Amino acid sequence: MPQDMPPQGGYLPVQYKRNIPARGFRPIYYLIGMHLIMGYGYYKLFYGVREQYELAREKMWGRIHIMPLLQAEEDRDQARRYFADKAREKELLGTDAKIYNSDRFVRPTFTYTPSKVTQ
Amino acid sequence: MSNIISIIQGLLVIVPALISVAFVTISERKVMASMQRRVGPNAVGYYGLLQAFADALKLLLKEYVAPTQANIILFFLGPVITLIFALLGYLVIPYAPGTFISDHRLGIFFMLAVSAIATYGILLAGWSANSKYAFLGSLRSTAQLISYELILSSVLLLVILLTGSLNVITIVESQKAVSLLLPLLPLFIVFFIGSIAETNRAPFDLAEAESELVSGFMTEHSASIFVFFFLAEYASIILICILNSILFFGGYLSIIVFSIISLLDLSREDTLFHVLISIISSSPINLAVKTSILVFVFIWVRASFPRIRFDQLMSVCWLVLLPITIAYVILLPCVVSGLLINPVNISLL
Repeated sequence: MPQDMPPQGGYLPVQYKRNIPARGFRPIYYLIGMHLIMGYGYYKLFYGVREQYELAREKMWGRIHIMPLLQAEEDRDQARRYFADKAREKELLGTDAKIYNSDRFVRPTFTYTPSKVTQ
Repeated sequence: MSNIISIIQGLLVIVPALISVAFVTISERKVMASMQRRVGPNAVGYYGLLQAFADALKLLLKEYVAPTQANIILFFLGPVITLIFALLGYLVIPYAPGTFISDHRLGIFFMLAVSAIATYGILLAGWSANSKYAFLGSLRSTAQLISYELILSSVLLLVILLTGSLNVITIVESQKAVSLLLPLLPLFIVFFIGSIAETNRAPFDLAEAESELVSGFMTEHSASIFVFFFLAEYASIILICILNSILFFGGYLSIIVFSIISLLDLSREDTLFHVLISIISSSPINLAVKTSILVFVFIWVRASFPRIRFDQLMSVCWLVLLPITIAYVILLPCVVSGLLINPVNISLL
């Protein structure tokens, strides 16, 4: 039985290239579209960041305006802690013992804070 | 008591994450089936919805086989490391305003670090199995993950540049004006390609190319340790889709509601209306919808594109995507300082 051989003159060349019609727009239009979208994004981002600046400025000025109030609150808290500390010392030691060898007021370098501190 | 509460908090995130993994697998099989004109799983439960649970049960009941010459400790430790670090990424995700486990200042950095450590699990598992296929698979996977992480972190750098914070919640909240998808459109495409490669998904699933490497780094892993790998893989897919939607689509913020508000110029005169709007505009459903769409695109890509060669994979990363990203890393600071849109110092807000 004769062996299967290629046809006389060999096989026809295989066409690897596929002739598929190009779909969609040309690439340049996609590029332009992308940049338009990006431009709109930066436009919105610009005003968004401006608004953020405004909010930050407003908050900072709000803080500055209530600064005396905040300071008073802190002083009051400081005083309350100081007297509570004194009372605790008196209860422990029995007398009004002085910690520092001075008659001047020494601002306490430590405070008792609540166990749970919230920011 | 606080320990119990934190354990409950952890479970409240981990259990839904794992359940969603189950449903992502079933949705993947269903979607791919319909794209290939098949029926897909339809026997277990209604519409085949419980197929994933049946598969998991089967895998958990199976006997596990460890190769004789394998390094047993690392062999079992690898999948555990991968799963733990895939799940740790969920720690810093804000699901809605005030709904998160950790409001970490360096949240994005944490996510990046954790996903980088997960590579070690794959490396250890592949090496310790003492199999050529597993070893080659783990080498490929590690090379791929390290290369594509570069792209992800470079794109993250630009997001951080525009938002001015590493905190995930700040990144989400600063997208109230415009979601970063619009100004960073080409970078989103780069990031999405990078995230497909980072999760070892088709068409970049060279690590487990069946025709070459059987099943890649998990060739020798069977039964329950295989479940660990499986869960880790899909958990990281969901995680990276969440990360995509947080970075580029505004996370839990509803883009549609915000654009309607800005278009119609709805002022806040009516309190009840305002409350309603704020509930709709920042609810976890927004994040869920965005993430689901991105997961669908992951599956769509898998069903559409043929697997590329390994050298193509590497050259796409180093010669195409990385130069584009680096070009933007150079360009974007110029744009930011040119338009005077440096983000506000976070301590002022």
